[in-house]
Amino acid sequence: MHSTAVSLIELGAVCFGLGVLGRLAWRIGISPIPLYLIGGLAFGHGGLVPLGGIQEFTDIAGEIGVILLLLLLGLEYSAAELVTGLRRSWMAGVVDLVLNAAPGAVAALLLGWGPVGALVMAGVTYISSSGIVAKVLSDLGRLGNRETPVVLSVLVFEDLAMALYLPILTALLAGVSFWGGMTTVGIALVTITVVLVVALRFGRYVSAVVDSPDPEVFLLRVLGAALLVAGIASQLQVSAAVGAFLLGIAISGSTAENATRMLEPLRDLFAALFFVVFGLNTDPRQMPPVLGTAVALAVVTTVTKLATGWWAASRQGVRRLGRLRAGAALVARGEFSIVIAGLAVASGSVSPDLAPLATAYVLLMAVLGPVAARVVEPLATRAMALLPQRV
Amino acid sequence: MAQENQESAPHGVASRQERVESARDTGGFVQNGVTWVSPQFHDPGCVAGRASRWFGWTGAGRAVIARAAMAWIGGYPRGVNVEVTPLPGIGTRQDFMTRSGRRVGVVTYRDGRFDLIISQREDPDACSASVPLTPEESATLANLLGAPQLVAQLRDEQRDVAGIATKQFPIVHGSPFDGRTLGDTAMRTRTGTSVVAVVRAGDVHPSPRPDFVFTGGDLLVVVGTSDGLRAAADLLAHG
Repeated sequence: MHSTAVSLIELGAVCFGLGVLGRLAWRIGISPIPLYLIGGLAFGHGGLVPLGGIQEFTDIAGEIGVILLLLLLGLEYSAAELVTGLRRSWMAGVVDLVLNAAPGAVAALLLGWGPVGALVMAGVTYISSSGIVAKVLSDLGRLGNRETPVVLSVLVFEDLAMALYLPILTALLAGVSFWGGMTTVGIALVTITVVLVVALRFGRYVSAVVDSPDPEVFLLRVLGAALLVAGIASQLQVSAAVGAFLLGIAISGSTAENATRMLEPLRDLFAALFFVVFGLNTDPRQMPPVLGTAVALAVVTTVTKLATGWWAASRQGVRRLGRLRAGAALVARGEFSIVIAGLAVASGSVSPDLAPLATAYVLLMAVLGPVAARVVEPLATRAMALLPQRV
Repeated sequence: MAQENQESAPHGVASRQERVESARDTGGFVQNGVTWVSPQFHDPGCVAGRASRWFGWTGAGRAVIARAAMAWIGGYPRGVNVEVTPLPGIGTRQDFMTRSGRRVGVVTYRDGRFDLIISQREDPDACSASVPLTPEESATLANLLGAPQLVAQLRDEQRDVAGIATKQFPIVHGSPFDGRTLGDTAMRTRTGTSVVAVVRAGDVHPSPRPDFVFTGGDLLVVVGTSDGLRAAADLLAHG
């Protein structure tokens, strides 16, 4: 029997440790996500200091972390932005999808993980981390740049793609038949359409349900609504994360802004715990064998994101340097790749090597992304300066 | 939306009739022969905002035609094309290309903060400056840029009337009239001048009534004889 005191000490140590890691990360100018993952690896099975007593709490905290990550992603964009974004940038979005999902899927098939494993890895390599990208763009003062709307609209498309992808993935991971899968896809499509229409036409009524002038009441209502919707969605075999995401889209206007402001600290806390839980459940001793694959995937998907950004920006008449900046900004993968891998690992229907591969891959990309965004411009200018001398 | 308060009216030199019509079409109003258009960009994306506003057209396609036509007629159109670009998840970017070939504009965040942006000379896609401004700072900048325009315009209108001049006076924080009404100044009685407009936070309040309350940072646009204006300056400074 584990005493409460020990659990509290362990939890406190984990949170404090994460705080130290987070500060370190921002100091050296990278996202804290890789450091959280490393923290989890150090504490978990086969790690340096195995933790025992807080498993139950951290598991549910991790679940809440996923729900909050997706809820805030939904809150970030209004339904109108999603629809105009989709209309204007669907071609760039499709190019992004094809170029970046393919490497993951191919790698999984080559490793013999079957179609479900391929779908999971396609998601992991496809989705950029909108959190890291937004932070990097604003840190580097690029919000006023011409290529920035291009980058943002690619992110918008990715988020909509997630809303379709997650229910399909959940259904396939649960091992439903082909027709069962098609039904889930149909339900997902109908649900998303209904939510978008409701959000566009009746967004204020949805907002009114959760809105309150009292911050305490408001926080409880938003959080309660998110967990309820997520729970019901999960009961209906649609993923909990998708439920929260769609709720986020349906909440709009000033309510969405207030909710974002209020939930951000909670999201940061629970998401950090989610990354730790993912790290905890990954055995670091399994990582060296998959490291080669992870590095190869990192190289290939860096190039494919660069190509995506280059192509999308060139369609908007952005010059070469701007196209490179757009591509480099998209390189970072992070929280959502881990969310996808986490869903797959939890279901137990994929290869046990998937978690270490996804961890290694995200560790690389979350570090590489911000660095790439920073160095692409000086590197390109230097290369351009060198080029005429050789010719 | 906070940014609408921040947009003062830029002016072209269109004929008065045209100005009146365009102002009506766009929900602006005409006062003392000066058009105050409050631009409202409903159509996201690259809209030839200025051109469509002058002609009361809203369709983006028509705006493009209007822009092309203006370019063909000769040179740059009268106004400035403000390009409005939504930044999903962040806010909006509003900018325009200056004659010198640099983009100048603002990024408006959803929570009402502003960044003043100026593009690089070598790479117009990138920004050489991205200056965060508080609402107070952006209001001050808007006043600095907007008020002289207004005064110049009024000066033009009154050139025909000999002996009349237009001047702008600030109400500094802690001045005798900070927090008091226009009526309290007894400006007309004591100096013979008229306050024709007050510029506050980039917004123009034309023909203020006697119960209009001044606050620090306001700019008064005053019309009168040069002696009267001197007296008005003295009055505003010392009470």
